[in-house]
Amino acid sequence: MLNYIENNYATYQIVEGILNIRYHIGISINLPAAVKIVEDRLALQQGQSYPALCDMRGVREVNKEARDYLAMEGSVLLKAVAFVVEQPISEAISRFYQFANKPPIPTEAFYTTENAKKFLTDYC
Amino acid sequence: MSKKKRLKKVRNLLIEMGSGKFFYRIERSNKNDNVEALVSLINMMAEEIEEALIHQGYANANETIKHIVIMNFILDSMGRIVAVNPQTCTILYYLCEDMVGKSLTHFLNEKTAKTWEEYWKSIQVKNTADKAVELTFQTKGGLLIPSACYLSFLKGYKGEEDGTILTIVKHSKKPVELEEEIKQNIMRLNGNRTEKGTVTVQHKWEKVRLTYEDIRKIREARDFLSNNLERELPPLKEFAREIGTNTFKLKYGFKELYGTSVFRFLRNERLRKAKMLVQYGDRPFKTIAHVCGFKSVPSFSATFKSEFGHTPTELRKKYSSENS
Repeated sequence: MLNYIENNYATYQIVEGILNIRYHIGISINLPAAVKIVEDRLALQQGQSYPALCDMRGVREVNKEARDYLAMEGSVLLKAVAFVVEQPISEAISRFYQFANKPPIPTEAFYTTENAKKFLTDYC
Repeated sequence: MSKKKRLKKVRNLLIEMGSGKFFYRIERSNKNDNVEALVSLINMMAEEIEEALIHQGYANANETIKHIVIMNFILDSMGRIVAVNPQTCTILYYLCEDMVGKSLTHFLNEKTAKTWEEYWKSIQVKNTADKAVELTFQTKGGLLIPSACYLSFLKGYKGEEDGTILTIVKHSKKPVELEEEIKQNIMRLNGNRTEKGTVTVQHKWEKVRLTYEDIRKIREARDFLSNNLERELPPLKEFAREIGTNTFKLKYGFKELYGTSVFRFLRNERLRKAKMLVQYGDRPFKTIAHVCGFKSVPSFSATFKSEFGHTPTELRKKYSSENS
């Protein structure tokens, strides 16, 4: 089974039951980008649900349409999402997304991959 | 861009927002510092407020027209500006004479200027129907205005090309309009007094006031629905009681806040989720119908078809054939 995909925005890999998504450095996400990001993720998942560890330290900007799409359509087949962020930009974006766009699945942000993984163990 | 420059833009943007214009944005730099984080938050906040304004527009249709601002450009065959409406000058902070005769690219940000040049070339070849294009304008002070633009091609009486109109529609809240309204109301009131000797206050329609508490409860209701798509919606009376309000406020408030009814909202959210699962997953439709709160596969298929124009089976077939 294919367990690694890369597109213009991110790399995806399934390791030990966790879907790891790492966004490329300096990317801006608009609606077409968000659709591609979700589409490739779902192609890799092949209908299975996973908890996702999403390293968004490289994200510079996510516009309104993309935030809305990621919160709703982007939550399909995900059990929970742990963001890995850093101060200040990616943290600000993730907090705003969590509070304003309200994704319907458990979503938390962490400064380290270890803590993010710890949070996801409940959903594995 | 220096910190000082970026902060100046933040200040200018906040002043614009204070005057009711939420369509400006600040250009992002490549820095990763606190000012940049602030800029990203302000831009996102402006997007959310702008969206809310448009929404209020349609929930409250008799008030919309006041809040619309339009930018109009007439372009010649070379893509140069022939004329603009005064509002365009106000929004972009240029004098009319500074704009006329210049190419439109002067007023776009770097990125979309390129897009526009290519686009302009491509439409010169065949430009029959009206078109829409996304462009980002830049004010004299450097604030950005991302806009959906509509292009219409004018024809002369012999069918020859006679320029192009570029239209951009934005929304704003103008306190001036409100004052105008108050003034007119007072005048009407005075008029009534002189005519009949008594004051008759006209209540055309009385709006129900939603308190912050009501709004909080309705938001809760929305979040509950989004998070429990598979659950059957209890009767509205019961649902209202669960979130601590009454049926009327729930119905009215939901419409005010989200521009749709509780049922319609739930149906849309269910369909959105179902569509993703049909398109990208391989779960049987029975399971999808179940997790998205549809009572049976036939009712799911029928609702799906009426919304998207094709059945779940057709969509899955199409998608899997495209990807194989």
